Amino acid sequence: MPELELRFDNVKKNYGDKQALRGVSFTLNEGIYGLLGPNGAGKSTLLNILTGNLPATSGQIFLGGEDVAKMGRRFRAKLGYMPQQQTLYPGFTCERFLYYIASLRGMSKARTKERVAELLHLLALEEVRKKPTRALSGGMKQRLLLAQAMLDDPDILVLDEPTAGLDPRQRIVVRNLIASVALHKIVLLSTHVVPDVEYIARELVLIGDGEVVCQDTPQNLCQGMEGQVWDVEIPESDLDQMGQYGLVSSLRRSGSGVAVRLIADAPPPYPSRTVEPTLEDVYLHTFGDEGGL
Amino acid sequence: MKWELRKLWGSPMLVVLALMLCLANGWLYYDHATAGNFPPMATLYTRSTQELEDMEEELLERGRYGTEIYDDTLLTGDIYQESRLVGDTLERIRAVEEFPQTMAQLQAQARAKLNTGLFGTGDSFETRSLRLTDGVYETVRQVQPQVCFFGGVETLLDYRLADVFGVLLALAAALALFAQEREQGTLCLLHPTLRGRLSLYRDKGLALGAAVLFLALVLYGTCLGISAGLYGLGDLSLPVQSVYGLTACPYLLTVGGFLALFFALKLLWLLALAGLFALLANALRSSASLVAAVLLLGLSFALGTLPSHLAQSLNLLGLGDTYRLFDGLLFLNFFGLPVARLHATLGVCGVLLAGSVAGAGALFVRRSPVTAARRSPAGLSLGCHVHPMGHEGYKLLCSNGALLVLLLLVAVQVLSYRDFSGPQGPKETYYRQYSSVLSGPPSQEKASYLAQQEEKLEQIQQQLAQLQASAQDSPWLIHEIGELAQKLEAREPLNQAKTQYEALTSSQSYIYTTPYELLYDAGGQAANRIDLAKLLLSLSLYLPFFFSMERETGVGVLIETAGASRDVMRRKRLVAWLFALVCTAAAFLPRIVAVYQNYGLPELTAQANSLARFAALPDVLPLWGVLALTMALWGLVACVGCVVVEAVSAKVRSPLPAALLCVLVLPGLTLLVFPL
Repeated sequence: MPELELRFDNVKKNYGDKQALRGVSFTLNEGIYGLLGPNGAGKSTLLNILTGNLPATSGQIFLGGEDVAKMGRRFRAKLGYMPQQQTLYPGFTCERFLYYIASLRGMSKARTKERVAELLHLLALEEVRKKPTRALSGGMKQRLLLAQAMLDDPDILVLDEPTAGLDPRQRIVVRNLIASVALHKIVLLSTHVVPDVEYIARELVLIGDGEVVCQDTPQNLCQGMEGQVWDVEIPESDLDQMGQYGLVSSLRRSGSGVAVRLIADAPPPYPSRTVEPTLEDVYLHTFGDEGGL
Repeated sequence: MKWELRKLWGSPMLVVLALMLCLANGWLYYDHATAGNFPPMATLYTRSTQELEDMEEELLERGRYGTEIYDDTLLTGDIYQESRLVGDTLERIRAVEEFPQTMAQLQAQARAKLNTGLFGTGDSFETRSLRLTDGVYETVRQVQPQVCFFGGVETLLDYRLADVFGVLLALAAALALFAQEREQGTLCLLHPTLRGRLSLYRDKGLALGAAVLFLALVLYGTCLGISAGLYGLGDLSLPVQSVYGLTACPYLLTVGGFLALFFALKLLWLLALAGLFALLANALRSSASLVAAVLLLGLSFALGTLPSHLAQSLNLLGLGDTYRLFDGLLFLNFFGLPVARLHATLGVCGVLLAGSVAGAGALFVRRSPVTAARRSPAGLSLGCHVHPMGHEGYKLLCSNGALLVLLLLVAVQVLSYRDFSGPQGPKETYYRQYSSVLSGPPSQEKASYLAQQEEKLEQIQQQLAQLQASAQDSPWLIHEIGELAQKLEAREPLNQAKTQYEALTSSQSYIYTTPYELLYDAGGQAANRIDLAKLLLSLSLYLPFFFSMERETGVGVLIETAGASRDVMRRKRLVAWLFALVCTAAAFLPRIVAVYQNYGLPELTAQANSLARFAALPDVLPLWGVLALTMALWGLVACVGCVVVEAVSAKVRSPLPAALLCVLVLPGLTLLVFPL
């Protein structure tokens, strides 16, 4: 079976005069891809275009060389989507909701029964399967939405903030679940939580201001920043001056002074040592100069 | 409070709704006020009683000869209409002139009942009521009403559409201030502010009260202004008993005082209802609170049809029927204690207002602004299937409360036609008897039967003439004469049956017309329109929530991703049409069943053109076909209503304003296009 390939070709989206996407091009193959970027960078717009919830102003998306717009239902049959908002019918039980999604996807009853049981078990929703979705906690709703996205075992899984609202243990379970099902799939995972994709993503796509800033493996991205991340010991009174030497990634109290993690091309004029870069450092380095929050 | 008011008036939908309702109210009130014969009656009031009596005599004389029916010099242009008008005017004037006698009679009746002891003894409710009645009329006897034309006041008394519009606006305002804000999540921001929840609730409550008062003043003020403009309000310092329809008013009030009290009670009632709606909006989600409010109002309507003064007077709608508080004396039985209807209404409105305000406040202050996760009992595995239509049906019926709306419609219709009655009396009985024999295709036997019956009546007529001739000498014959005269009442029904029979062709059938006339005559058509308005009201209140479900919950995103948007919309439309058809049956069948129970629906397979009403229809169409076509037509109208609701829901993206707009557009359009 040939490897799946999803290619975005110069995809643009304008809202009036505002350009939300300025010609996004990148290619995804089987594996997990993290879509990282600040708020308003165009991540959700890109996912909405991919899932057919928003038309692109121009550009195309190809799956295995075929335009997805022309594939229509054949493409949608391969797609599973978990949106950022908790989109559920409050009067439906968990089980009914999954059966409803199965009916929309044209799944057989036998297969639906099997998949629903499996996913409810995997996502620890068995006990609440008969409860209306309005009675679920935020974390349960999130897991139910993940279950509906994975219901038909789609080739392309699009997950928008899948771990939002989950406690640390659930977050690890969901992360591992995504990793385990992604063997022969394309999983595009949009998140703000960098550790979620740090260990499982094949590649990261960093998107900012409607453009792809870079696309690479987490290791390469981190390697590219080696020698630019510093652990600096400074007196508390000099803290305000650190901004002129680079970006402050984090800081903590250390003895009589403050230990600052600094991202800078050159070492600052304080006692310092280079440290191993993380994806958070990469993120900050890439998007840190976009100002404010 | 001003911020809360700004929120209300900042809502374009609410403003548009208020404007449209106020304009509709003005238009409909003008129609109502000018529909009767008040304009010419106002002129007749300028004449003396003697002049009117002379006029009546002259018109009767002219009518007897019937030579000149139309006369442009008359106010109505027709001597018969003019005669009725003069008669009505004289009756109104006499009601005022004979006021002392009427009061004395009422008092005497109360005393007679009290003295006989047949209507209760000791301290029973009946005895106490009669004693109180005696006392009240003793006081009112001293009143001296005067003849004056109060057409402006009278048109105000029985106009209740302003009440309906007021209730609708109070509901919209309460939902906008309480339920919508909770659902939008803005309450989460407002609750933790420094001012605290109680002061926020006070501001919201005051804003709701102010808005309701303002809107009520506009609605009732418009009516008052139109009345004053058309007929004037008369001498407001005269006793209220001078107003026709209020001559039995048991209170010492001037007309001006009555009007002030009349509107004050309306305002109190609307405020109490607004409080109740606020309570519902705090207790339930907006869609559920809307359904609950409609359910309560429907229940009140049903209570109003019960044969109990307590149920009729103290239901939510009955409390607003202010006119009935003054048109006579009625004591309600509160555990054996007689309480005047006015006092009971005041008390119930007060308690309702205070209780609702306190209850809504407690809920607002104590309840989390975040929509609580409610525990529901585990359901059966009914949802474990992959039939898309089944899921859409579930969304409609169970998940969104359509079943409640349907049950409410059924309840309202069944109660509306529970005591249905059509033409009765000896003539109808005779006609039904003849029809039972003549029913079916014409035959020689039936023609003979008609001839026999005619002969029989002729003989009775001759007997009667003989008896009448000898009755002057034998007064004991009066009883026999009465019996024969009664039998002769069959002449008119027999003529009707004969005319109907003789008009039949060989392929047609004789049909007992009464039930079909009841269904299709002017009265039947008016009832059909009201039923249609009820049906469209039900669809308007419910379907916007159904159509906007995907957008409101966000599930539309998942459906679009699955590429099923069009399919889902198509299925939803189909399910909505099926629901509309079921509602059509619920709206129209109770009346047909009531007619059937009272008169039957004979000869359903006969040619429809056997009835004069359907003479233009082709031979192939049987009567059941006409009934089926009529139902199909109403069903089609209901489906068109669904399409309109769907279009409005797509345009107006929020379901609540969409529902209110549909309520205004659909049933309003029905009643405007097909006026009663």
